[in-house]
Amino acid sequence: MPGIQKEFVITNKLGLHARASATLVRVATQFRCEVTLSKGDQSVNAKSILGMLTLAAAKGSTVVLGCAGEDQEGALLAIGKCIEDKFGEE
Amino acid sequence: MRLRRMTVSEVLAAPSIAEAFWSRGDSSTQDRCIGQPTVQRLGVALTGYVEHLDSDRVQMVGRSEHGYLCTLAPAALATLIERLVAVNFPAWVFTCGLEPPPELAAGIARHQQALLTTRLESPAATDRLNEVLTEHLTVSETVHGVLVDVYGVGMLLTGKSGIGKSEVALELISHGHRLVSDDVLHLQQVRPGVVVGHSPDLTRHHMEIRGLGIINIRDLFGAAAVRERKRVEQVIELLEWDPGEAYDRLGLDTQYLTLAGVPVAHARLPVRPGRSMRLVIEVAARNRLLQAQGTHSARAFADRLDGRLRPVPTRTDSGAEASVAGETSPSRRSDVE
Repeated sequence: MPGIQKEFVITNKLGLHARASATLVRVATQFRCEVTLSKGDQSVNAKSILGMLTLAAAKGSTVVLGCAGEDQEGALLAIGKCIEDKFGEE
Repeated sequence: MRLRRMTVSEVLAAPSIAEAFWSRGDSSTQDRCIGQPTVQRLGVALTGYVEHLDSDRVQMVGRSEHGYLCTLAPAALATLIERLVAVNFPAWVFTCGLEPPPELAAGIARHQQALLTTRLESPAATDRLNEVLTEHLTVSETVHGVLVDVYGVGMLLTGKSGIGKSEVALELISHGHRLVSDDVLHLQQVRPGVVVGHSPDLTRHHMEIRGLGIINIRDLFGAAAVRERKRVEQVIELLEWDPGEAYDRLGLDTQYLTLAGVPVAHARLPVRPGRSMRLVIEVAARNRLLQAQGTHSARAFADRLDGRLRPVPTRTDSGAEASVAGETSPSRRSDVE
């Protein structure tokens, strides 16, 4: 898939738990582009709560954020910031 | 989409295999790779014809193969064993707790092939091995969509996030249809031409409805509202209504989409307020059932129309005229009846 990708490490204490996933999905759905999050060989739609939950990314796991579409740069920046800010948690 | 290989140790690690099978060979033989999702039985190969044995497939030896091997004279047995082990199978399985003839065990060990034994009878052993191998070795893919069993037809609803897939699925479920998976669907080609979908363990029986959050369909609607897996027979792509888009108006030609290597019928349905998507999807499922029973409504209609368009013979006798007259007003007549 064309588009842009960036690697992130999940650093918040609880990992990609339900609330954190919802926060990320909320940011992702503000953009029109397709957003995917991958861990290992598993890739999910980052606009889908259930998809994000199946990823079950614990603290310390590496995920790849991929955005493809007209507003991909803004999406990558905003969602990336959300992950780096530990979803507003510790 | 991926094609995999599976090592003998991975097979042995599966719970259903671990409890009934054990390895007798050297542990290094467990690194051997299996490439096919079904086990093979020696059968005719016992006569020495090894042409159709596969070198990436598990070989199973049951009572009949074992019994035959035991009847062979030492020289014939040695020749046969040499031919068999030379095919270089990844693993051998002896069922019914049978002891491999020492010459064969030695040949297997010499060629670094794995040797497993089970107390299970051959059919049960075959089932367990095939299940584990199929799970890992067939083409698989994960897609975004909702799989619902509608009148026994596996309907996969796809479309952009926010188009309303889950809401349509929820309406289908409340009308007695069954949820397989919401949002994330694992697909697997279980045999040529058949793709089966199932839910990831974590989200099984769950749906996400905007404004409500995550709900458990089995708890809310009961055990009959869910099912574990279902063959995918039709893809319904929900689209935002676009007046400029050319949607299928006839249904004469079926479009296909490839899922886990299998072509699946694909229809594009525009969504618009006031259009009951539940009803349209139910009718699509009924139409699939009808087609499976040999009736294709669109083609039957087109054939009838073609019949009308054929030039009417100029000279007709009274019998033909009557039948033509009868054909011209069938709809009005059936309305009266």
